[in-house]
Amino acid sequence: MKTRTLLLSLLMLALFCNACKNDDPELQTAYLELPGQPLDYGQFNDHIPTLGRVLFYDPQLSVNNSVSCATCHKQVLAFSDNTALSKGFENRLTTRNSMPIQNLAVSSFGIPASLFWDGRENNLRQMVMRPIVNHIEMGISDPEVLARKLSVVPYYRDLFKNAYGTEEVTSAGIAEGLSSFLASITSTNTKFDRHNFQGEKLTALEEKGKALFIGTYDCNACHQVQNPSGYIFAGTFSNIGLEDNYADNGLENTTGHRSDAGKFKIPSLRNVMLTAPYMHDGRFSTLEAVMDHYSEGIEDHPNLDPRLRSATGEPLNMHIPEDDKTAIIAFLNTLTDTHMITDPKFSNPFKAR
Amino acid sequence: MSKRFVAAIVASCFCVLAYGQDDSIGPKSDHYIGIQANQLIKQILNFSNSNPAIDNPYLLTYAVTSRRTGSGLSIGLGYNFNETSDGDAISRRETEINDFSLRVGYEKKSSLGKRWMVGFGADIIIDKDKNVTVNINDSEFNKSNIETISTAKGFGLGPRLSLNFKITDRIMLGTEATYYFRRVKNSFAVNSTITTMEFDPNTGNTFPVTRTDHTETSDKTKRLQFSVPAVLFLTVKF
Repeated sequence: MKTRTLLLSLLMLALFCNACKNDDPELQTAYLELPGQPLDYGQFNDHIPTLGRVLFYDPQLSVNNSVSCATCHKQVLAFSDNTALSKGFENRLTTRNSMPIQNLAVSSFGIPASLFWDGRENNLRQMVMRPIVNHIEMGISDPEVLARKLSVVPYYRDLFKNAYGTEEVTSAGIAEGLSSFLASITSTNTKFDRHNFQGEKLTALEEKGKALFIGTYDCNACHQVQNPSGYIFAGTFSNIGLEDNYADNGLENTTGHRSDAGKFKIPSLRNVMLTAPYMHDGRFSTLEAVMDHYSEGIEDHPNLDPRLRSATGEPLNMHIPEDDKTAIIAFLNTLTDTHMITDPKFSNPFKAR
Repeated sequence: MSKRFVAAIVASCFCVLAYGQDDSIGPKSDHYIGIQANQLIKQILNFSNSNPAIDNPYLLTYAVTSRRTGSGLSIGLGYNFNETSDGDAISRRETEINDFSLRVGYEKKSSLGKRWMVGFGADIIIDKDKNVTVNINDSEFNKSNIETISTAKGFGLGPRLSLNFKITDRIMLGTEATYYFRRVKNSFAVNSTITTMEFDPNTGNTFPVTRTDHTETSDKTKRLQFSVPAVLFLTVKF
């Protein structure tokens, strides 16, 4: 009996060790594939967004060459990430959910849109450097260190020469290239856009969802879907009652005002079907869960958005019937831009062989 | 053999119960062992499918308090080990994360009616986090093997307030809020070996050049951090 148990244990141990065996395949060699002439980004000098595209996908922008911007901003997901909290260069979790990248250059009445969940930046050129020098995300100590690092990479000499007429790699050039590329990522070809501007018909369910979204539940008060950036007035933030006591106070971290506690940037709903999980911390895995929050789960908070309070001042739990949720989600699906997520000019120029 | 083992466990459980209930001959203190139970409770009660952030590193707690005064010693311990291997066709990354947190402090517990128990105290906290990541890349222009080592050694102190609901006389479900001052020394080291292909204008050939480099930086931070009562502890008294 004892011998049999011992043999069985040894067999299990052997199987366990075999399962843990490192059987990683050999690495393939990466190479850069760019067309002779730059693709059309609709900019005065398309070499600059071309440089930005290479930078965006190059893991050498992180201190240990392990993550690029595209690691957390994936084109097929409207440049968001399909995890609640993305991982940085050391596999450490970041503190917020990766926001989608689209229509960043769109401003309203000349006011630049606030960037990041807590609006800590509104300048795109400065925004692109923030993750690079973040000690969890990409770990580079200083933009100048990055410029020196990239200056010995042969293809950057060529890309800088094309973009700026000189081979010198500078942090300003890196910032301009990246911001120029991000600004070129636009989403203007959704079914809802075609419905608005070309008369394409929505299905009956989508029409019902649109009426509920804009009318009955007035979601449009915050998420103005007819605007490419998502809202009319740039820089709007809201506390939507996720908690009665937030672990992450969002906008308050930027402004220092207690009245901003629990407020986060109202995200654009373009491509929302692709950008799960949702909220600043990715707490909701599905749109159904988001709808459940607005239906029954809004918590009271001193800074709760007045649009989410009833006439008596209580949190406005909307009690949305299941049929209405289905219709609204069908409508939200009309905000998906399949062209943007497959456009070659936004794709990874690094290939493996 | 197995029957004897089960019988021994059952007998020991009864011994513990009897020991806990007899004030006249038993010890003069109560012992509490707690375990972080957010995930468990979420599974049982199916609260919602949301995942709010949790910033309490103490997975296991222990307290011993005097039955007469309610005051005593409290300890919290947290340890996380995480080894990850990931990457893609052109890059491979291996990460080993060790996070250790310990707190030791004074605590006074008082009952609020039959069902509630409140505790307050102060802790000294020590934590050490270490992350070693090795990333290997292969590209047409260079091959790199870069190791990053980041460590954070923290020390601090601060008050703690806890509230427990007595499910039974022995089992409690509670939460806590802390306001710790923490001084952290962060250090970050990078060891890199990068092989690039260089061009020799004399021969017209390319040849590999390997460079190794080591950089190290460190900084100290101080922060006063309020931790909201977002974590539930399942505590057993014995």
